[in-house]
Amino acid sequence: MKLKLDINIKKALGYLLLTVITSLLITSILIALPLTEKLSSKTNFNLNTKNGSYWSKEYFVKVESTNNKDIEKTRDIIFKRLDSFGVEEVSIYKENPSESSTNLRIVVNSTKNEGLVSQLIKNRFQIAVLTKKDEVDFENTEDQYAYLMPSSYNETGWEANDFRNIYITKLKTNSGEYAHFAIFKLWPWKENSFREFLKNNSGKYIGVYTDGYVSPYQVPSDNSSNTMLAIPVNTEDAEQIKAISLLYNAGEIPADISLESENALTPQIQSIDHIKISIGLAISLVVVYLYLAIFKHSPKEILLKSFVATIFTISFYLAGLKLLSIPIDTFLLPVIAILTMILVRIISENKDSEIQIEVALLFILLLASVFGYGYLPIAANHLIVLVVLSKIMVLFSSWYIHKVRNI
Amino acid sequence: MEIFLNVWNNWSIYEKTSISLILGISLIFLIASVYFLTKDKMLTIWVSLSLLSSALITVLILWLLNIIFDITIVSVFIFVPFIVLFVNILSLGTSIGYYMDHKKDKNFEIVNLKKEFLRDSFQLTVFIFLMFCSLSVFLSSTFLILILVSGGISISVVWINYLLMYKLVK
Repeated sequence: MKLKLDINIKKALGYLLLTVITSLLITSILIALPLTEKLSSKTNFNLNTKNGSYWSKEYFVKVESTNNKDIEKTRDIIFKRLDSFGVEEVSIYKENPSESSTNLRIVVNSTKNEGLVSQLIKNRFQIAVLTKKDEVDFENTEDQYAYLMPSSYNETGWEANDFRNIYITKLKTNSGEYAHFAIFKLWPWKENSFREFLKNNSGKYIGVYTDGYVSPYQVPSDNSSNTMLAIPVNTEDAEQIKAISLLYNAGEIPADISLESENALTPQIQSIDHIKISIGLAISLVVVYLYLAIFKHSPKEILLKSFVATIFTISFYLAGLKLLSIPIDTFLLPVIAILTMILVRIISENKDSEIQIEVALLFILLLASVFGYGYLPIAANHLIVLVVLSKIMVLFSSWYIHKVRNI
Repeated sequence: MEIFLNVWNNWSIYEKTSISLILGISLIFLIASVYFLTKDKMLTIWVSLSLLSSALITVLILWLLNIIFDITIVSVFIFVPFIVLFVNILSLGTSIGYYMDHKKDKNFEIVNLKKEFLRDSFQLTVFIFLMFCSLSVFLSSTFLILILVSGGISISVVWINYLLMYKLVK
């Protein structure tokens, strides 16, 4: 007797795929649940909240000017430095000016490196290119630090506004290793003059002055076609490099500044119990959908699709945050979650408006991400991911419900 | 008026420029998109008035919160106009999409658009009301005010949109 196996391979693979997908979905929901981290000590499913990392300080910076334009520009540049560095909350207040100076009170609330934030606030970072004085000898052991002192150099007239950008990148050193250098890129109409300047100083020492110290640079002897000035940056730490880049490029503070004092403050963070809120939101979601189903505000098919899509979107998002340990401010989570739930509901119900709504939202969120400051770009980036994920999950949930129904 | 003077004096040029750029470009993009997609003058005017009125209401409510209830409008309140704009885009988007999909139908009338918008507005209101209320239960102080204000303004904007459509779009 022959045993004949009559298996529909396509159907079997379909069931297998559905089983695998369902397992993944259940896993992501379990990971996303608020108290999962308490189930196992072997794997860390904690949400990486920023609440415990916040510090707060107020800095009093004296600006040696009473000119309103100078003060506004100084305030602007410091704000730009801090915002570009990722400092979450910055407030800069003008204090009453004296005869020759004005005080700025800078209040910072952040999780960023405190030391680097302090450097971004207190350094004017005035840049000038200098040439070594002929009579100065850097080899003189009696004056070992001569190469660092501005008094060992002559002014050349080349300053920060002659360079369109100072770009920090890795370059190969003479020893064959790679190190970070700050490359000074000129405006096109200045290139010829600077090339001439470097040619006239071939083989000699020049230096880049910043806030009282000079970084020396020996111009290569064969420098006929080179306009590049590359100063070594003595760090490999990414955050320090970012801070240095901001000091170089955020703008030229027009007056001398000095840090008068700094005081630690209690961090003003919007801390919420995200576990209670997660449970509350989940209950509300179920209640809302039950209400819509009981009072027949929407066909059951669409309600089921949008409910399933909402669960999948939020679960995948939270699971992703936990598995990738992406730091998040807990107060943003409920706002983001509610907006996502409303979005999924609307795009599930109104298929004719899906594209228009998503394109409009993505455009606005991209604007907020690029031009926003403080918490705005942080929230916008999370929402961009969620808008895209919502679209995928709405399509996926239709397919998934259809497949499960046809088992 | 103190709140406006404080914003003007204490915000740096960078902050003023950022917010102006985001809101200005958003406004222009949304109005231009509606005009080019629908080619309907009344719908474009409706969307423009809706966006402007939502901006005015947001500023007015925040100002009233400050002068009547003596609530300090701190930096996180920057989220209020963006939450309102998000909900407003959802509200307006449902109508624009419906119009674009059905305008060439044989029996299409503006009355159908209004009926559809009324239904969508009601559903959106129920959803926003229940979700924001459930969140409010677990919050306190500044964040509670932010959520209540955002939810309240969002619901108002949805119904102002309906009122504007009822009066303008014929």
